[in-house]
Formats: sequence, structure tokens, C-alpha cells
Amino acid sequence: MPALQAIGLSKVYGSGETAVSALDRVDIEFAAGSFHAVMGASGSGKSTLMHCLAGLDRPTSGTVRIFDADLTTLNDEKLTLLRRDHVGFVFQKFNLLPVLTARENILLPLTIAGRRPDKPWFDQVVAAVGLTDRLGHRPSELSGGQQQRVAVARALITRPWVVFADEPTGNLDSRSGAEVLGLLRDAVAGLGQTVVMVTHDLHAAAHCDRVVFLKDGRYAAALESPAPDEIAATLERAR
Amino acid sequence: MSGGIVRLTLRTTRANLTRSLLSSLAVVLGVAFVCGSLMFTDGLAKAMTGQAADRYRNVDVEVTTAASREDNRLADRVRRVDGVRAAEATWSLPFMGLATADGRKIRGSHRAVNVSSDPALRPYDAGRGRMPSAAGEVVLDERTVERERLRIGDRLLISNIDGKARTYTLVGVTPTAARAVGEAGALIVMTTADIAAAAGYPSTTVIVDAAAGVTDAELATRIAAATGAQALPHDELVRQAVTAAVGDAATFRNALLGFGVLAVGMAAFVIANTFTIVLAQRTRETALLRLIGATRRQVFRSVVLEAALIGLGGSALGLVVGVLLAYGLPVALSAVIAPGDAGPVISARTVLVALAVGVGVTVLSALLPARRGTRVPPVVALSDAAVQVARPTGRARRVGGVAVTAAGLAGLAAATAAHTTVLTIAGTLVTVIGFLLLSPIVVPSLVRLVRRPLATVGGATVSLALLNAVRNPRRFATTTNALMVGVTLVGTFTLLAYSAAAPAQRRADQKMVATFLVSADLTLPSSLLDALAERPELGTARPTYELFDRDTDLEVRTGSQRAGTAVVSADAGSAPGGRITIGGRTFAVASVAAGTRTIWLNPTDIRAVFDDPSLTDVQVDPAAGVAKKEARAALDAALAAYPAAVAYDRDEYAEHLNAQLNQGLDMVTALLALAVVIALIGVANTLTLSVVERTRENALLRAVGLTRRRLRLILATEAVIMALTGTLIGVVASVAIALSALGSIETHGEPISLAMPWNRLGVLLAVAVLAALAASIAPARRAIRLPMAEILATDG
Repeated sequence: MPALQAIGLSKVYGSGETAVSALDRVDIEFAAGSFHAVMGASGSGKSTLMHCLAGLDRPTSGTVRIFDADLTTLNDEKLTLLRRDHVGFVFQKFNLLPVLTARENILLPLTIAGRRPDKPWFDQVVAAVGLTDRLGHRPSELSGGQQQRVAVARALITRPWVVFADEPTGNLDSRSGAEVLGLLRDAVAGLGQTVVMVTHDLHAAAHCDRVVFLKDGRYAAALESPAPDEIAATLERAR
Repeated sequence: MSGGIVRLTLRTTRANLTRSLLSSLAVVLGVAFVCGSLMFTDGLAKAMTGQAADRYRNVDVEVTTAASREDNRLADRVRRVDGVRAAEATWSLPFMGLATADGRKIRGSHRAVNVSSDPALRPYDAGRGRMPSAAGEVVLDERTVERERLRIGDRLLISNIDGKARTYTLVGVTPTAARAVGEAGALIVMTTADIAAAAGYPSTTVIVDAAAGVTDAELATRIAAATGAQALPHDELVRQAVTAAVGDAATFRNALLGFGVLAVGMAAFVIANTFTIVLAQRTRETALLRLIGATRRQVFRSVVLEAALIGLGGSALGLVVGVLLAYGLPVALSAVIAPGDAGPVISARTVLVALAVGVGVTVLSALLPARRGTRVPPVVALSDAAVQVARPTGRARRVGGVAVTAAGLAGLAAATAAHTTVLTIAGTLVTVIGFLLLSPIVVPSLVRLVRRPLATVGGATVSLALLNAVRNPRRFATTTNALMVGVTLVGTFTLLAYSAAAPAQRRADQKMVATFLVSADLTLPSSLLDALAERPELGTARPTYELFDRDTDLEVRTGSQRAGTAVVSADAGSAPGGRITIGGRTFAVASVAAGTRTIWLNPTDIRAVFDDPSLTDVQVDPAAGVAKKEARAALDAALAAYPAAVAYDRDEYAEHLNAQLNQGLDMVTALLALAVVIALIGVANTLTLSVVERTRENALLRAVGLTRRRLRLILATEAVIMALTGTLIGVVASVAIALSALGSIETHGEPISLAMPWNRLGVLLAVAVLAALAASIAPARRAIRLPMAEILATDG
């Protein structure tokens, strides 16, 4: 069973003459236990696709499934709980709550759910992202790279079905960016996670098992474990 | 200011209309109260001056003389003066008792006047029925007749101060109110003969109708010369009455405006806070303006213009609300004034005041925040920072704050020891200033202290809410400070009034030594004792006398000791074992009691020594073996002939004492509560504006799995913690101030202890919490409807 499935997915903004079709009948699958990337030019609909797949936005038509959960049949409450317990998020920036420490930010989904953290798992995740000695710091006391690592730890703490990452390295220098990508890679290889990353960075996408390309809101192409120059070529074609 | 900047300001104000409205709400209330008071008192003055002129209708000259001349027959002497067509002696008797013939007593401060049989000398006319002409006929004022549902032909029991009641028949109703501010009671119009009999003393006032061919002024001079009494012509009479009426209305207006100033001051505070927040959120916009070339002065002026626009809107809306308030005030103040035809009057002056207050207060309050908020370096426009980090509290402020607060608290404590109320007032002001200085540190710390314990009960939601609330300590402190000041005002006043009056039950218990108590507004007639003695169902009556003996300069009160003995106060000049002479008799001094220049004598002795001592109340038990119900029935029957006398049992007496206290307390509390309401608006403002800053964070929380309900809960908790902090600190401050004030008052005898009106404090707390919850509804709704995708999205 694929981890993620979009069937006939469409998203239209506005109506009538001013209607804008961000996604146009997209059919796509993401296999479990792999590191996926979604790429495309500005306005290709890659972020919109991720938002619909993650349950952050409702498609105008079509179906979205995370494993066997049909998101389109869930009301807002159930969607929220699904996100809380089974989905992890990493954004480009402003991932963390400034009033909470790193530890509290990592545990946020669990705290909201009222569940106690599993200490060995917590320690493992924290060690994996390399933040063991920064847990008591506030986001304002952490560097950009450290903040992203906290975000990754938070995304993993609930052992989610899928982790979505929206331009996770967009705000980082190349070294921090490489670290974060390495963490995501490790999550897939070591923990069996499914990670879907939206990015425009060729070198980030080169870390992935599979890269999907969108153009004008439609599926354009897919590559398996591509090298950066292959990605660049396909991107050119998909313009 | 260039047209471009003005246009930008207008657009900004219009774009942020909700925010502008929020800012102006406080002003609206302040302006509404000030204008409402002005409109109301202007109407009151108009009605009262109208009444004043009315009173002297048909009176050409009024002649008054000193009261001490017995049998002066002033009216006869006046009639003999050349130019007098007719003259009538008049009386004005206060504290009349009034009851219907079937025994229903009409409560109020009633006054009896007389009218001449000569229509040309009548200041009043009957609207329905006719004026009294024969003995035993009366006319009442319209308001009383309508309220008590009386009809022409009804029989009434009316008694004079001395308590003897006579039966009269109602023959007419007069529309005149003719009562001054603070006198809520009936106007009883009688014939001259009846009132002369009721008064029992000669009249000291004579009204005169002039003959043709002589002016009022001329006649007045003639009368004064002929009789040696004071004579005033019509115009002078009206002028004096109008001046008095206007003066009364002015006093009232000033009292109301005092509260208005308070409300406006609070509004200024709230506006300053709101502007600070709004400008902090517009930092990047302001920086952008500066980046592309606007000078600091231009940006500053733009903000001031915005403030002026908001103030203008507030003034206009405030006027409208003020009109509503002006109609509502008479209802609220019905304890003090009888709402008459005092419809509100809108004058040009009131409109100008509205403009001045609304625009002036808003602009002045916005000046300091504007200065700070526009001091933004242009480079900020290029940075990624969300909102400015709050300025930390400087060391000077911290040290100064501690020192000032300590001084203030010392002052409050010293006031109790030194018995000077001035120290309490000074101590209060200084402590409040010190607290305000320290508040950005102290208040958030208090909240952080309770975070852990509350989180164990409320969970992560509560914890997050509290953290959010105090993330900007200055903003939190400023918001709660306004509420604290308002609550302190209301709280201190309530505590002092409540404690000083002492729980009515306790006073009733102290005063009542028997089952029933009979009293009147003034005094009771001594014949009442005889009436009670005639009833076998009642036991021996215990009278309370109060009089002043001029010869010995002593207050005489009733004591319960043996006949022939006296109890004296320490300064009466006699010691226990000695003797004291009063009223021609000598008494043995049994003991000394607390008081000033007072002597307590047995009631029998009082009656023996003084003729007609003032009887203030009578207490009586049921006779042995008689049930309370029977005794009460007998008591009521005995009192039927005394319209002014009212009987109470212990609970009714406590209620009676409470009623007067509560009425006054409610009135002032309602006026002070306006300040609290404005402060609560400040809480709503702060919450609404703060939520806007957290749009992204809230979207993140929702993405990570926080349900809508939990998000609503977080915001509600934030609002409640703001309201509760301000209220609770205010209550604590009120207790401290009240304790100091009560301890500083010099009392003869036992000191006044602090009585806590728990129910009122509970109401205050409940109101604060409910207002906070209401304030959180709109921001929560907006936060919940966040389009998460839009907010969290980065690019396409």
C-alpha cells in the first residue's frame, strides 16, 4: 500500500472568470519508507499539492489518502487529530513557538494530545538530531540550523505515518542544510519513515529516492534516485 | 503635512477599521458619560428653574419674619398696608405623615403647604378636581397620586410632626412637583385653616397680591417699612429661587463630572496602550516608509492625524451614546432625585465638550506611543524579524519602583499608628505609583508562579496560554494596571462604606433589645406610648429619648439603669459615686461610659425632668403568653392612627438599615464601575491585537494538531488571566488601603473593623471573568478560521 495517494486531485481558487487552477486532476502515489521530493517552477502547484496531501487544505475535487485513511471523508476535528498523531511537519521558517524551550517544542504534539513522551524514544530522536545539550534553550537562542533540527525532532517524535517538509533548507547555509537533509535521510533509512519534501534546490532533491515534477498544476515527470544534472534537465523540460 | 501622507493616513485608518474602532471604544464611553452628565444636568437645571419660577406664580410680594414672635398676626398687619389687595399667611410643614384611610402608609419625605381661598393668590392649580375650600379637604401632587393609585374622594390620614393624625378627603390633583433635589415625597395642599391647626404655631410667611396701580417693588418697600419684616417682590423671589436651583444643579453636575473625569482618565490609559501595540505591529510598514524617504516628523504626524480621526469618530459616537445615557441616568439616580420632566438638553456647549474630550484625549494619549513607535530605523524593513522584542525594564526603574513602593506601604502602615487620614491618602498614591513602576516585572512573575500549579490542572493548553500572556511583560502589565486601578477604586469605596456602616444585622442586634421596634423619619409623638399601653397583647414599651439640654450643654439619652441614677461620659464633670444636677434635679452617678458630653438617664426620669422630650423610637415585646403574630397585629392596629410611624421586627429592621446603605452604595458603585468597564475594554483590545501577531504560530499549532476547541480555550484562558490578575491585585490593594483608612480614623470608643462584602466582591470577580471570556470570542473565531495553508505556505 502506498503511504500517500492522490486521485484526481484538483484545487481551484476563486470562481468564474477569476478562477485559478492550482492543481488539475493530479494522480500521484508516494511509496512508504522512501524519501520523496516534489519539484516544479513557481506556481507549479507543488506547495498546494503538499498542503492537500497533509490535510492542511481541502481539495476542490478528488481523493487524498494517507495509507488507508481517506482525508476527504474526515471533518476538521478528525483531520486535526490525524495531523497531531500521525503526521510530522517541517517548514522553511517560523517552525517553533518562541515562548517554549527546544524540549517543549519537540514534545508539543504529545503535550497537546496529553500523552507522556516515551523517554528512550525521546532521547533517541534528540541524539539523532544532535541537540542533547540545547534542550533548555529558547528558539531565539538557537541558530537557524539548530531551529530546523528541533523542527525535525518534533516531526519525528510521534512516530508519524508521513513527514512533510516544505523547503526545509531554504533558509539555511549549505552546511546546516546538508545536516538537515542528512537527518531526514536517516529518518527514512534508520527509522523507516516516509518523507515527502517540497523543494526547488537540486542538491537537496538529489538526496531523495524519487523526485516528482509538477508543471502548471499537473503531473509532469518522475525520476528515481536522480543526480543533480538529471534533475536540472527535467526541470528545464518541465518549465 | 503633504497630501500624500494625509491620503496614506486615511487609507491606513480605513484599512484597519476594526483596530481603529477598538481603540476608539474606550473614548466613546468616556465621552458618552461626560456628555450624558452635561445633557442630563442641563435638563435638570432647566426643569428646576422652571419650577422655581412656578412657585411664585400669583405672588406679588412675599413677607417673612423671624419665628420667635408669638402671636404676631403678621397677615393682619400686612393687610393694613396701603396697596395690598389681599394677603394670606402661609406655612410649609416638612416631615408629614401620610397614609390611606385603610392603613396603607405612604413612605417619603412629605411636605404640607396651604392655598388661599382667593384664586388670585394661589401658586398652584388643580389639574383634576378642585383646590381645597372647606376644612378636611386636601390636594396631592400628581406623581404621588399616580404612584399610590389614589382617586379623588379617597380618605387620607395625615399627621404633623407631633404625630396626631387627622382624616382628610382628596378633592383634587395638582401637576406641580415643587420639590427640590433630594426631596422625594408628596406635596400636600390644605386650606389655610387646616394647616394653621396642624402647625400649631403662627405663620412666619405671608404672600401678598398687589392692588392695581402699585408695583411689586414699591409695595414691598412699603410693607417692609410698615411691619419691620423682610418683604421681597416677585422678580427678586424668582431670581433667588432660580439662583438656588441652578446652584443645586451645578453641584450635581460637578459630582457627576468627577466620575466623568475618572472615566476619561481610564480611557486615556487604554488608548495609550492600544496605540503602543498597534504601532509595534506596524513596525515594518513604518520602516518601509522611512526607507523610501519619509522623515520621522512626517511619520509622527501621520500617527497623530490617525489618532485625531479616531478621536473624532469616538466623539461622534460618544455623543449618541451620551444621549442614551442622559435618559438612563435619572432612572439610576432615582434614589436621590425624583425623575421629573427633566428631559436631557443638548446644547452647543455639550457638542464642543464632546469634540474636545474625544479628540483631545485620544491625541494626547497617543503622543508618547507615537513618538516611540515611529523611532524605527529604516533597515528594519529588510529584516525578517516578526515583531520587536519588548524593551526590558531598566535598572533605574526597578530600584526606584522598590523604593517608592516601600515608602508608600510604610505610609499606609504609619497612618494606623498616627491616626492621620492624610497619611493614608498619601501612602495610597505613593504605593500605587511604585507598583505601576514595578508592574512589568512583578505582575508577569506572579503569573509565571501560578503557571506550573495551574498547568497540572488545566494541561498544556493552560500552560501555553499563560506563557503567551506574559511574553510581552510590559504589555501585560499595562493592560492589567488599568483594570487594577479601576478595581481598587470600586473596591476601596465598597469596603469603606460597608465597614463603616457595619453589617446591618449586627447593628440591628445591638440596637434592638425587644421583639419589635417602632420609628419614624423624625420623631414619634409621646401619645404613641399611651396607645401602645392600651393594648393588652403588648408588654411594657421601652422608649428611647434624645434631647439636648442647653443649660448643662449635655446630650441626654435613655439608659437602662435604676431611676434616680445617671451614667455619664468622662467629660461630664462628675465621677462615679458623685452627684450631677440637670433640669433642676440631682442624680447619683452610677458609672462612666464612652462618649462625649453625654448623660444617660432612666426614661421615667427623663419624662419627669423634661417636658415633651423627643421620642426617637419605641421598642416593645409581646405580653407574657402572647404569640408574636397576635402582638404584631395589635401593634399595627395601634399604629394605624400614626401615619408616620413604622413597626419592624429584628429582620425587618436589619433589612431597613441595609436598604439605605445598599441604595447609596449601588449608585456610587455603578458610577465607578464605568471605569472598570473601560479597563475591561482595554483587556479586549490587548487580546485582539496580540492574536494578530500570532497568526503564524496559531496556524502552526493547528497544523501540528491543536483542535479548534483547544485554540479557543487557549485564547479564553489568556483573556481570563489578564482580567483575574488585574482584579485580584486590585482587591488586595483595596483591602490594604481600607485597613489603613479605617485604622487612621479617630473614633470614640471601639475602632471600626473591616467588613468584607463577599457577595459584592464575588460579583466583581464574576463580571471580570465573564467580560474576559466575552472579549476572547471574536479573536478566537478569527484565529480558528485561519487558512492554514495560506499562512504556512512559502512559495507557489
